[in-house]
This record gives sequence, structure tokens and C-alpha cells, in this order.
Amino acid sequence: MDNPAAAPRSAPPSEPPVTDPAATVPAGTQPDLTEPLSSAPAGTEPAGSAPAGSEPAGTEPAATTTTVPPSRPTADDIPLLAFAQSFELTLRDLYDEAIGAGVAEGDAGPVFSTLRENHEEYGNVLAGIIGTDAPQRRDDAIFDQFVSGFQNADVVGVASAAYDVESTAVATHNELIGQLTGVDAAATLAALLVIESRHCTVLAHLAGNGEDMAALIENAATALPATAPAEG
Amino acid sequence: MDPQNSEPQGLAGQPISRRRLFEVGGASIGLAALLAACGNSEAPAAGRVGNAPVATDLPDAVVNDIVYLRTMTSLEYSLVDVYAVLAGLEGLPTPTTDALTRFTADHTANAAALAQLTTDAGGQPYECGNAWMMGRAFQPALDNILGKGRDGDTPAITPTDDANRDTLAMINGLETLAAATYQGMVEKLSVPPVRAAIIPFGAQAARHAAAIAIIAGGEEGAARYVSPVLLGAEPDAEATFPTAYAIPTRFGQLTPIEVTIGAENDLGLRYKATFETPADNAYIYDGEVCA
Repeated sequence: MDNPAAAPRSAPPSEPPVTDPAATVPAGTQPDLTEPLSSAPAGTEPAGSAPAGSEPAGTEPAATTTTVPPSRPTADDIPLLAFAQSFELTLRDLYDEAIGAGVAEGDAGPVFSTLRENHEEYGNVLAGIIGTDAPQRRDDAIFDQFVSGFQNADVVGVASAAYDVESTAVATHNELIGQLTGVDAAATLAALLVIESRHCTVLAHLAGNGEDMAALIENAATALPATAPAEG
Repeated sequence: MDPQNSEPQGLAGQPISRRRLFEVGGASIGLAALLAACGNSEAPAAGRVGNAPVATDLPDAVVNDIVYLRTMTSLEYSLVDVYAVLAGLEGLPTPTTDALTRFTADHTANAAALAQLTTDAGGQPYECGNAWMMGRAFQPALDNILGKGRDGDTPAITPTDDANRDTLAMINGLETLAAATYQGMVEKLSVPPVRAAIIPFGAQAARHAAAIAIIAGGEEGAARYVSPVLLGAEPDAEATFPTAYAIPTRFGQLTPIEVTIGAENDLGLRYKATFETPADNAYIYDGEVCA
């Protein structure tokens, strides 16, 4: 279900980056973390900052070229954030499918409606960071991948399906945090990721796995690669 | 001497003429100006008593990613230390002891992973608890669960009246603190891959907290899924023990975490521990070693 109130995207995302499925720190390739925070790693200068050696004539070069990571998303961050936003709106639409099928009519109704509201709010916040490039719509490929589990009123069945996609969202946002340069966007993803992790625990319990501590606290999902949102 | 008709007199009892008075006065002013010019214009230092060593300025502390990694490691060790104490309480039910066992294993593994990240980054791992946080937040909370004898002017602390209730509250508070710490570190760390390497620990801590909130609900665990505030209700400000919920807020919070524990004191009040994410005083700076 598309968001009828969604604003049209003013421009498609630029070339979607290829994601590295293993966003860990490869041994021997770590940047120098002994530098004070004011020293940013290469490639993290804010967009528009002057390249090294481009001081105007007659000025003294700075003793050190120190910058902090940019707050605002860089141009390379925008497609990643657009993917994150479309993922959040996909989750909202998936819960809408379950609520439409009647899952919210039982005791667990407030849980599913809360999760739906949370994801819509996450989409709104990400749209605020992205600006006019925000896709403002779901990713149909992800929606199609998970929707069958949401099209019924069985609480356990929906909770199990929701657990899978929420776990995937957490893993995906984790990957994106490792690729984003702008601090604001990374911090926002972290703030919603910790709550989405709590969603997973609730859904595991709701799905009947309350006695299984591993199910309550472990995430074995694999991240989805960040791509431009697919339209149906 | 007639007080009505007195004149200034010299030491020898001779009257001082007006000329002589100006001469003496001028000489005094000149001498005072000379002494002032030769003196030090700085304010005098406070006097010293005894043989105290001369104070030296502290070196400027550098806060970088390695300091953050060492601090996160110390928090993990602190949680392991606190859980070891809580696990020794008598009468805890199986779900609580199972959670303590599992969470201890998780935090031990996290500490090792963070130590490795520190080493990989060229730093020296800090492999023990955070003394600042332990001394000012965690130990006082533990004292109000275990009880503590009188210490000088500090009155004795009565042991808790419900060890399981307070253990669950402590775990929930500490796991929420850990989740908030990692969430906040994403904003502080300068290298994106390191941010991605640590946030899974925050996600795990958030799930620990959610699981404990449900466990604390017992048979009514499902009532602990979502905070009523998210459903439009007003928070219960009158509750003695704030109820923990698996989903307490819409976004992860970085605000201080308050945990109510312990037995009632003479005033009918219980201890409120406040856990805050590490800041300057709690950081484990380069060169700090385990005590």
C-alpha cells in the first residue's frame, strides 16, 4: 500500500552505492584512531570544503588540517538514507496489511499499531534529514518479499513474520551506520535501531518464544543491500 | 596638655612646624613609592604550611576513538562485576538467574571484542571495570540492595525488602544505560566502520533490557510490551517503582536513567540510583591502568 500522503520525490537518488555486507573493521586497515577527534579520516571532509593545498595565495597554510566528521549527510549519504527511509515505510505498510487483516482486533492490537506508528515516525525523521530527495514511499521489492506473512489475523504468524523483517531492518541499519559519513544521520539510525531491537524481543515473545532466551536477545538476520527503492 | 590648644609634637616633645610636617610626609610618600616599584606586582601566593609537594598542572587529556573504546570496555566489565554481585543474592528465581548468567556471558564477550577493537586501533585495552561509574553510581545502588554497616558518620543501610524486584530493576537500568552508551558513541566516534562495529552491542543491550522488562512482568509479561505513554496515556508519576517496558519510547534516549531500589528508610523513601552515560570524568584516558 503506497502512502497516499507521500510527497513526490523531487529527484531520484544518485548512483546507489554498492554496500559491503561485512561492515567490520578489517584487520590492518584501521585508520589511525589515536588522533584526537578533531582529525577526521580521509574522505570525511564536509562537502564543499577546500582540498588540501588549495589555500589562497598569500595565506599561511594551516598547521594541521583538522576537521570533525560532518554533521549533515554528504552527497554519498543521501542514497543510503533514502534506502533506509523506504525500508521504514515498507515496514509501516507491512503492519498496515496485518492490521487490515484484523490482527489488531485482539489483545496484541496495541503492539502492532505501536510498531506501525514507530516505523512511520522513523520514516518522517529520515525524510527530515534527507530533504527533498527523500523517496517518501516503500520499497516494493522488500514489501513483496515479506508481505505474505502479514496478510492474516493470526497473532503468532504475524509476529513471526514481523520478527524476521524487523531483525533484517536492524541488521541493515547497522550496515548503513558503517557507511554513513554524516554524524546526524548515523546518530538517528542508532536511536531508532536500539528501539527496533526491542521490537524484535517483543515479537519473539509474542510469537511464543518467551522461554527461549536466544530468540529474545539474538539477531541472526542478514542485512539487505542498499539499493534505490524499487517501485511495483 | 590642653586638649583645646594642642599642636603636633615631635618625639622630643617639641612642636612640629607645618614645614617640618610636609618634609616628613613627602619623604614617607617617596619611600612608599620606591618600595612599591621594587615589589612584585603579582598577588601574593597563599602561604604554605608543612611540606606539601608543589602542585603541578595536569596534562591535557586527549579524547579520541581509543579513549571511547577503552571506556566502553570498562562499562562492559562493570556490568559483569555488578552481575556477579547480584548473582550471589539468595532467593532469586530461575528466570532472573538465567538472565544474569546469559547477560554476563554476553558482556564478557563484548568486553573482549572491544578490547580487540582497541588493540586493532593501536591502543592499549582497558580490561577492568570503570572505577568512576562503579564508585558513584553502581556501588551505592548495590549497597542499597545488599545493605551496609555504619561507616563513620554515614548511617547503616538496610538490605532490600525484595531482592528479585531490585535485581530486575538494576539489570533493566544497566542494560538501558549500555544501550544508550553505544547509541551515544555512534555520534562521538570519528570512523564509520567503528561505529558499525560497536552498535550491535547497543542493540543487544536494548534487547536485554526488553527481555528483563517482560520477565519482570511474570505471568503478565505481555502487559509490559509497550509503555502506555506510547499509546497516549499519562505516565504514572505516583508509582513508587516505575514500571519497565520492553518498548518504553519511540527513539532511544540518552537521558539519565533512574532506578528505584532498596528498603524504605525512616522517611518512607527508597533509594533512587541515577545512571548516566559516560562523560569526561568517566572516560578511560590513555595511560590509565587498572587499579
